[in-house]
Amino acid sequence: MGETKSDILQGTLDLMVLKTLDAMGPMHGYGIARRIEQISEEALQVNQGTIYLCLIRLVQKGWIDASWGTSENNRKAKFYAISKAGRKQLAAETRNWERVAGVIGRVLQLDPKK
Amino acid sequence: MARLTHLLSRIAALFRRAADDDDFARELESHVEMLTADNIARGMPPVEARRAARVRVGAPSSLVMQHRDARTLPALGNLLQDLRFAGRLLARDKWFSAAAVIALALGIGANTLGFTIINAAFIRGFAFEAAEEIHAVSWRPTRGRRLASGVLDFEDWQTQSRSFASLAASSRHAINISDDVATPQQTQGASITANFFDVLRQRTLLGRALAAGEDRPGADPVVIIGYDLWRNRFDRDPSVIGRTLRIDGRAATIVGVMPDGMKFPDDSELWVPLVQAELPRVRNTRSLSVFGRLNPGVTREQAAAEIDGIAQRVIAANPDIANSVMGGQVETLQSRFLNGNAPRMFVVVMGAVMFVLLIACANVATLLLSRAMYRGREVAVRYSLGATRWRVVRQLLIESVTLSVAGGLLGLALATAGVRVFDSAVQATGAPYWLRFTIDYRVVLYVAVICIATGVLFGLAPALQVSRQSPHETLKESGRGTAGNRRGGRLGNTLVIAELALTILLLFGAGLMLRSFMSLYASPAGFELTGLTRMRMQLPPSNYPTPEARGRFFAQLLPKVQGIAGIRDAALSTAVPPLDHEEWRFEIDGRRYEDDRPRPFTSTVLATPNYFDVLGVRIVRGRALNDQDGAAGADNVVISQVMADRFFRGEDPIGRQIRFMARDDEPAPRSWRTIVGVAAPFSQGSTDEAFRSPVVFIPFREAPSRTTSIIVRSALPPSSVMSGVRAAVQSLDADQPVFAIETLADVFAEERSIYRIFATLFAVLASIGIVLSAVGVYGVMAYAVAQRTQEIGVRMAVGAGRWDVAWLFLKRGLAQIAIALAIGLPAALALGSVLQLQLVEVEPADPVTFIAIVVVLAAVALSACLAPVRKAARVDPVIALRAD
Repeated sequence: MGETKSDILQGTLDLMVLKTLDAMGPMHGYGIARRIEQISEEALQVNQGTIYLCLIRLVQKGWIDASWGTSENNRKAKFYAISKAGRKQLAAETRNWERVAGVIGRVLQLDPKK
Repeated sequence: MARLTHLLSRIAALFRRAADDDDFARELESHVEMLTADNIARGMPPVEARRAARVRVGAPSSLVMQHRDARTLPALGNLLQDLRFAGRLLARDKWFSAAAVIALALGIGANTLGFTIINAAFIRGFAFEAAEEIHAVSWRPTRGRRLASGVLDFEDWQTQSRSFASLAASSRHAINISDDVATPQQTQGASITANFFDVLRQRTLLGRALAAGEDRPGADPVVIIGYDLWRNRFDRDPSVIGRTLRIDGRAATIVGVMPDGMKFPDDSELWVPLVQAELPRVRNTRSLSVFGRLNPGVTREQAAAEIDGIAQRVIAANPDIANSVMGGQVETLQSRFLNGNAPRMFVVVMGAVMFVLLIACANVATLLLSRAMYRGREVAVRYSLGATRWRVVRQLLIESVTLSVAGGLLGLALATAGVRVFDSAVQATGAPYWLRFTIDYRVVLYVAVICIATGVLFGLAPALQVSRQSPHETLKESGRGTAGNRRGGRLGNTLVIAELALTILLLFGAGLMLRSFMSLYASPAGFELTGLTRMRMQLPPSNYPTPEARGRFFAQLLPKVQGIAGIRDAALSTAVPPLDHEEWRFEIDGRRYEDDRPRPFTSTVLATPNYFDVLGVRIVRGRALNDQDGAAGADNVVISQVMADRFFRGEDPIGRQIRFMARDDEPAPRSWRTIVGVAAPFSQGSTDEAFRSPVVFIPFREAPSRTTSIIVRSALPPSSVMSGVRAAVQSLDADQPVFAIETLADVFAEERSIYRIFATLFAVLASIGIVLSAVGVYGVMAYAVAQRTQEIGVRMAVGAGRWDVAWLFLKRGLAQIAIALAIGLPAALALGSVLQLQLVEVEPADPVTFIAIVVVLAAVALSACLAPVRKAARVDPVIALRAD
């Protein structure tokens, strides 16, 4: 049961990270974590550190690239940027998500009385 | 795709674990700092801000570990760790590892050689596309393995069989080729049906194969040449296509060249169309080898049943062929082309190398077990640190598999060298062209499987043994004794006895094979070989259609050859000792025979009267043939001593009459012939049956044969004999080649070299077995001594002498040898009788082999005991008792 939950979370987290990087350009892990928290209006409260487990997976799949750089406050930080393959994946995932969301939406709208 | 990159990068990440961990720790730290800065900006006090940031991010140590697991492959990582550990350990115990790796390399190397032989002979097969579909169709004869098909038979197979997609036929014969450029030459040729290469799915290197209709009468004569001929006679000239070559004197156009290594079916160098219409349409002339591809889904057995059914109908309709054929058969190409003892010899070799491998495994297992003693404490510590038994066993198995893989790699290298030597030795004996012993992917795959299997096989028992202990006891004993408890000792003993018994079996089997091969190899010719040279010629029927024409040619040739300066004498014969003989059934005048019982067989040789003189074979009774013999009314023959002994026991054969029985194509038995002499035994007939086959010598002039050998006795070197004879032949017929020029000494050596090769092979295998078992005995004895050092100390302290201690261990070694002999010798006897059924010439209870083995094995095993026993006798009780 716990696994199912984290699996769903993992999938959505991947999608959210890719979308964030696509929309905002290269960001460091802290920035991504903060951004996702803001957007989800603090609904996803996990250890910020877990974002890196997602990031390393995306790096290894070749969907994002990582490199050390300097942050806006002049600190050393690792920056992540979406790759070409990542954009393709994002597009595919988005379509998929919308289709699933559409189906679920229609299912939930069914009126039991009719 | 993404999945693959993911997997690869995870594997790659395994190898930079520390650097990546570091990198991630820095990344986390930078994260915490940024969060702290933001917290401060929100108004938290700095200390509080940092604490809150740490909580928000999570515990770094756990995150680093999770990150590592996500980044790498944890299972593989453990494995690598085990491997690294195993590698370190094996590198530390240099001598142990070297001994084990060498033992395994010998075992696996020998096994690889064995499998390479089996692979070449039975598995790899022919280099045709889907070659396993191709089968040979033939008659099942009343005597022998197979009989070729006649043209009517071929038509019946073709029209009535549904199992084959298509059937092709070929017949072999020597072909003389000549042109206006190079000297005439004799080649091994094959006449083939036009669909022959289509059935084989064999493409040409240059030009084309036969076109449909080119095997009809009246078609333009064409020829396809083999690669060797193209290279040697035409110097790889691509413009050879379209050129004209005379085939037995008739011009034909070269239309194709076959690729290198394609010599199907009989080491053929030349293929010409088989004009079926020119073959006699009778049942009893059979010259066609028939091949075909089975239809998809048809098994060989189904096809064989169908062909046999057709054959039975043919026999029923033609009862006169029933005394030579019993039915039809369908064979795989391998069994069609591997004849005689070769397949059984190969299987015996495979058996022997399996023994060698088992001995190597037992040997390494004893070594591992001896070492396990020192591993006791390490294993106990691992247990107490929470390792599971599986993890401990796995670690030990990884060690043994590492050993076997190292041994396998070395073994493969040894085998590669061995296979090369073996292959060139066997090639030199005139093995069929397709039987090449090479290491291919199948062999490598086999070695890989064998490596893993042996690693587990010899590693499992010691691993289970070591891992069985309780950490408690071991640590309490402060590492002494430990895994080397009673059970360990018993296991070691069993292993050594098994190893010795296996070695006895191996030595015995190898010894028997060796002795039979050597006796075959060394069997005397029965006459003086030096100074004898043979040459062969084949007169094409186009120029010499009748025996009379051939007789005239030879009658002119023989005096010319005899007149060459330096040639002492020359004889003509259809057979050259020890080879070539034709077999006939015969009966003796005045004997009663039951009508339907088949008569006995004898070899026949046609020879000129001076044949015995030239060879130097004595006539022991009566007289040799003379010039009048073989003329009308003088049907006289000489028989061999074997024939006299076997068929005229207690009688005088001189003056008795024999006649050869009718063959299928003859209405009645041939005329009676009178025996005028008996020749001393000499090696004529097949080598396997040297001295044992009866021979009848018939005057050559009676039926001068197409294929005839000239045997020359001369002190000249063979090359000058050859050029003299060649000049003599070509002064009579410029297109007639002379070939197969060899000294008789070479003919004998080549014919028998296969025995020497296999004898050497078995000798090598036996030596490996001896070395391995000696190492095994040594290992276990050394282990026992090391394990009982303290006990020895105690015994000595209470008054035992050095001899008592030595005897304590020696006794054990002797017991091992005695038990091994008690098990091994009866088993060896059983093995001997199995081998004798197969191919051994020597009695299985051959006392020489038996005694030699017992002596050698006991001597080797005892001397292997000596070093550890000496060490035991020299134990200093003071040191032994003080030792931890």
